[in-house]
Amino acid sequence: MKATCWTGPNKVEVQDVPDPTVLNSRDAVVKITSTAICGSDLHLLDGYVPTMEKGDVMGHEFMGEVVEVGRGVDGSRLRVGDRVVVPFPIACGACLACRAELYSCCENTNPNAGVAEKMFGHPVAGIFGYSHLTGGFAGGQAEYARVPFADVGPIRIESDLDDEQVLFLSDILPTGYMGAEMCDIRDGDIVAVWGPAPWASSRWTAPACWARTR
Amino acid sequence: MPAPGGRGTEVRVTLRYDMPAGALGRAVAKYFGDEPSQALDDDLRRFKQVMETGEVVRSEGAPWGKRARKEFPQRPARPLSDEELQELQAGQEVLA
Repeated sequence: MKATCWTGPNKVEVQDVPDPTVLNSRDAVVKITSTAICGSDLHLLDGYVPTMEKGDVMGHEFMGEVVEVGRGVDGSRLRVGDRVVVPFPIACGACLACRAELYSCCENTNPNAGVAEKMFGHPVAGIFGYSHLTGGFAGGQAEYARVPFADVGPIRIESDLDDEQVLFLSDILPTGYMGAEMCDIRDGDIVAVWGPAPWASSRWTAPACWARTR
Repeated sequence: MPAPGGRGTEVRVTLRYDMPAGALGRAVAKYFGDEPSQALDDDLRRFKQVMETGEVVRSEGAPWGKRARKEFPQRPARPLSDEELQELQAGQEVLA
């Protein structure tokens, strides 16, 4: 398949790479229909995030159709043919953090959590296409992606909403929502939103603020 | 022992060992990811993964799972080739 690969600071190439396969029993393989570039991809692109390896597949905002599931995937949660939006943090659903719905703090999904601990002082969950500090998972700016613990994070889309209307559930909208929640925005507040990333450009943060006040 | 506040179970391992060649041996072992505390860290994290999720979590960069010996450099985060998948299986790394 074709995939967007980081090949060095400020160098990205579309390369032919092997198709993904199931590596863990609760994996799914998703045929990607839409993917996005995050503002935080720029930190990887410019080489300021350590532990990138030449050839890493980028991208942590994507959605598509499930084409394969591992034998351990809960069939009531996910099946072949489902249309899903995949959240960027990979969550096991079983550890203390996941049971408290703190999915970005998942204690099990990052094989390189020890390295993240040394770098940040605390571990982080696995993240698609976001350096080896967050696990070294192949990203979603590709034709297909392997999604671990596919019966935990992915959101099934059963309506006829367009990709563009739901794709940003993968990162931008919840990030804006989290900002609104952290600011304790209430109905009637006047707020200013600024920042370098695309999510700060209000298209998705404004609805998040609105949703927060409902 | 039970963790405070009902937050699960704490597992503590106390390991006493004599390192061949003393500090030099320790530095060499650490460089290769074979220092006992690194091996213990690998084992405890893998044990937690198996207990809570049923298996060792694999990424494309670390298809063998958490292993200090193979943290740097890691293979690129891109899908494995057929040959790599066969090698992984041949190394008794049982794949799902």
